[in-house]
Amino acid sequence: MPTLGSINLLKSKATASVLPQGVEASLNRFAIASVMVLCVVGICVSAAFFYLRFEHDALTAKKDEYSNEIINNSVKEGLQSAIKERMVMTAKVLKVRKPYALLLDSIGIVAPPGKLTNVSVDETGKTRITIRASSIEETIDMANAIIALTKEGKFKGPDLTSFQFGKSNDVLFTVSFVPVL
Amino acid sequence: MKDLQKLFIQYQKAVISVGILLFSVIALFVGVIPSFKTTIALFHENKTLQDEVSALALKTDSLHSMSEEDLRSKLTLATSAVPSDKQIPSLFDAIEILVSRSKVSLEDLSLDSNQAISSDSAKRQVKEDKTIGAPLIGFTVMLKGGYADLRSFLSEIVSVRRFFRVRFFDLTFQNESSGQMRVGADAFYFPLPTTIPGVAAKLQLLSGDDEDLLKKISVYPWLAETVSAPLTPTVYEPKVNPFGQ
Repeated sequence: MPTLGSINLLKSKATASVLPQGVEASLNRFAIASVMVLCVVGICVSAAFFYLRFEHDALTAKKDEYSNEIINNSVKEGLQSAIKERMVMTAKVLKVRKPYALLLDSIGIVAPPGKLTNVSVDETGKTRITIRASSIEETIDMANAIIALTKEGKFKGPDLTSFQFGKSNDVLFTVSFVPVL
Repeated sequence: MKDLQKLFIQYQKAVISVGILLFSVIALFVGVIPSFKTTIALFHENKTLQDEVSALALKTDSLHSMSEEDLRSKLTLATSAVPSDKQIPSLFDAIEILVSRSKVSLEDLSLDSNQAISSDSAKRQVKEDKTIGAPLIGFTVMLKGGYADLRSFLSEIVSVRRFFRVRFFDLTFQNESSGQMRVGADAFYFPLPTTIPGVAAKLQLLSGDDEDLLKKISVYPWLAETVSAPLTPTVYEPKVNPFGQ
């Protein structure tokens, strides 16, 4: 009810809050703290953003500068990549080349040129040699030489594929093996 | 309405505090968190950019340290071992020189049937070695000579600067002093790249093995000058029309 002499129906001053004093003060402090934290975080994030943006621009400029330099040196780059590519391929080519002269040297240990009738190497590397020996003893010596070369690791898997004994005691025989080059 | 006003006046301080708290929460979700995410993304982007710039700087330094003349001479050396195209005439020259060096007589020289001599348009018909990845020209030679000479040919064919590979051979002796040998061999070639790697592509530097290989190639005797200057723009002079005047 309005007091006497006052026309205000509403009270001009708030009456004491119904909330306990401690709760209201905590709410107040919490609100101020949240605003302060918000401001601090906002300032930090903004500062970091602008610094990173500046760094980004500087890096982009550097990248463009280096890119232009690389484009200016594109002939060198082309030459370099062509050499590198060719070297990789050339190394592979060198690996597949086989020094068959060394094979002939090894075969020469088994049979001298006069005794050798045929030497053939197929695409898989399998070698067949045909030898004409003048006697059985000579044939045995040659066979022993092949066995010795196999033990040395120069030949692999020797195999006697044919053997002909002639009227004049001469022997024509063929041995196949895989040379290790 | 009056009740609401009364309530507001009664809880004025608490309402303001709650309003500020609400504003803070909204600002956190609308402003701070997205800005933070953007900043983090920018940080990662910069890190990537920094790596790219470092790689480009390294590449630029490497390119600056290289001499174009030196690179050209190295490429010339490399293409002398494995030419950039078939170079059939130089192949014939090389075989002839090999034959004369080995002192054997050349009875026959034939290219394998699937070789396209005249044009590059039939490249698909050309054999390619799958282990090496390079196209090759297969050929067969028939030779006559003594044992030592034929052996010398087999030795020389893999010791010259144009790289050959002996695929097979068949050596038959008619008598003690002379024999006949059929040799099937391949000559390699490898086209030059037609494109230059991109700016960001890593520069493939030559390893120690590559340098050794170049030295090894330079030691082999060069049988024929076959290499044209690669990657050099060619200016063609217009031909004068003799009937034009």
